Amino acid sequence: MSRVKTEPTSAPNFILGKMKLKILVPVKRVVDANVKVRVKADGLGVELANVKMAMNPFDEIAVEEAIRIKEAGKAEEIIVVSIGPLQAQETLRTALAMGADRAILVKTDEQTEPLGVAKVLKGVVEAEAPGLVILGKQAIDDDSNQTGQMLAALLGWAQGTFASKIVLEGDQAKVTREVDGGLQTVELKMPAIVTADLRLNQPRYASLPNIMKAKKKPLDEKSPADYGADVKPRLKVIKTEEPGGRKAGVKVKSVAELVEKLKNEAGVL
Amino acid sequence: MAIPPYKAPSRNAYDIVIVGGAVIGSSTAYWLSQALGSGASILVVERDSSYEFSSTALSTSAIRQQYSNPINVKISQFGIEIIRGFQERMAPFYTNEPAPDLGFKEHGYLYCCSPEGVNAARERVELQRSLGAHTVFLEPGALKERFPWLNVDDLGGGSWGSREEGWFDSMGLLNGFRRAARASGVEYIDNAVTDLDVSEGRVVSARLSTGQTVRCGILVNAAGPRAQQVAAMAGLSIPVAPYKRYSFVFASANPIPGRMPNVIDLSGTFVRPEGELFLTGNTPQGDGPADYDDFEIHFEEFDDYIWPALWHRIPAFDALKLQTSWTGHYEYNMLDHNGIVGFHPQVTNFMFANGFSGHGLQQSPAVGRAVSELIVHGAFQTLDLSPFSYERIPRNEPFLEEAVI
Repeated sequence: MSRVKTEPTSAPNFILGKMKLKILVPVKRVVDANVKVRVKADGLGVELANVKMAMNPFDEIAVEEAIRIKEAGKAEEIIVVSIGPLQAQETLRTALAMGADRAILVKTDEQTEPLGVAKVLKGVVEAEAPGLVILGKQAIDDDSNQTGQMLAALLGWAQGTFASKIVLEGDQAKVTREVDGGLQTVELKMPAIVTADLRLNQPRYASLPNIMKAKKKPLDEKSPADYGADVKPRLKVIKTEEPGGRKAGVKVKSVAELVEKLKNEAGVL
Repeated sequence: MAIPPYKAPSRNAYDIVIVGGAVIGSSTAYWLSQALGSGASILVVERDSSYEFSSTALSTSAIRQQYSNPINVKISQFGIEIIRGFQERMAPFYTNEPAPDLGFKEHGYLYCCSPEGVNAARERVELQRSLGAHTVFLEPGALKERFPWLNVDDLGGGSWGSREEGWFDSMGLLNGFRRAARASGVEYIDNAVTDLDVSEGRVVSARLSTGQTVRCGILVNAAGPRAQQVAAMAGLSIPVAPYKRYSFVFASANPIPGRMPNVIDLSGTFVRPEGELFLTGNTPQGDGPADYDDFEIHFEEFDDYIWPALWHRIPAFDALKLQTSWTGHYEYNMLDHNGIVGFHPQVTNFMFANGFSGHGLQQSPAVGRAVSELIVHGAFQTLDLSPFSYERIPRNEPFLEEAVI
């Protein structure tokens, strides 16, 4: 396993100075990972009525990482932002209960897409001036894996995607990335964008006392227009399908028969 | 899961037709088949043999001895006997494969007791012990010593069943009874009974949704939460309705060390371990009859009621995360939340096996046997279940059970 040191992508000459770091963490409300998703009758999406929703698991990892950086004394404030319907407040409250300091709900009932979200986030970044944005690498509902990269491009910032480790030193972020067959470490000049992969950390559970306290933490409500962004969908869903059903198995009488079937029927040997 | 396609029965007349093929119907079919052999024709009509929404499949599958009524204690003791010996009992019906092991987790129940309830709890423990149960009453100090993770500050003590209480595999029990019944000649069909023909105080035939009519000597109502629908087909009425019960499975940041029992809090919330996870539920707010097809869950029940109660009773449960959840139906007897077992006095071949109000699974071995005894011998032969007879319903005389969960 080789460790490649890549030059950071070109970032604007942003100087943090003596100011302590602000971290922005965007979080998305998605269908809970434990729910068995069903396709809607019209085939244009999945059933959301009375389905348990939760924070996108990769975003949870991003929130946890921000909290750990703050607990290590390297950040001053964690702002969480969600772009979605009013109920996305619940997702923000969860992040606040985990340990984020304040929240922004950019309210929209549109079906959000990565580009629209990245444009809103660009506006939030310009208003809040964070030195680091940590996002989940992708949302488990649409699996787009685009928002972090698009935001980096819109801002012209450095990006470290699929992070399994983040080390901050001065205005540098050393990000270990999970790539095919190994790990790659990149050094980014902050401000920067990092997207969190599964092994970055194990997020904590929000505790009941902290959930109660989080109800008193500030949560601002904004609109995409407040950030000069248009989140109207540009993509059209043509079809949503469930995976094909599993075919019935067969019983084999002997190891020889099993091997024969694996060779000639399944074609795996 | 989809309902399997409905099939027509193989005959047009049966000695016994059982409406409902989940655990009560299947236990009844099993005991009847063992008592009658192939001499009797028995049909079990099951409206959804995927059992996706059956109370058996959606049960939290626990059994306890801690009841206030001697008969309920004895029913459970027989349940334990069947659960323990199930694999052996079922072995003849599983010739080339192992019979189901019901995975009985004998962790016991711990009923928390308020300071005001100590005397009543002690009396229940004495009663249970006099019947051979292993329940003990623990003072707060002893309780804390045995279960250090329990908050006993507001408790007068707790009654703990150290043996012969716990939880097991509900579908294993159902599948065993069903398989044994079928192997002994009972016919199961995927179909729904849509109406009953009653003449001169007898159910003469059952109509099926596929159009056939089957004549019957005896009709057994084992329709679970839909029991009243079947009763109404014979012009009868029982106060049984589906009541929703939510089950929540959660992970805890802090493990609970040792052998954790099924803890029943003063709030009516229960919690027990499930591997590394935990299973919890309660009597939901605004409890009442639900629609037959209403399985919608209310997550606020966990967030707003169950979790605060758990955290109070077990402070280690401060940081939890819901993993999965489901809704099941109790077949709730609104008169006295006890079962109704026996023939109707006027429609004399209509047998009730209904209204078990959350105890149906654990009582199914004894109930199936009792129903079989009434049909075969005309009287109870082993346990006398006459306190559960239908006659108390029109008389409006509840047969009360204090220990409800």
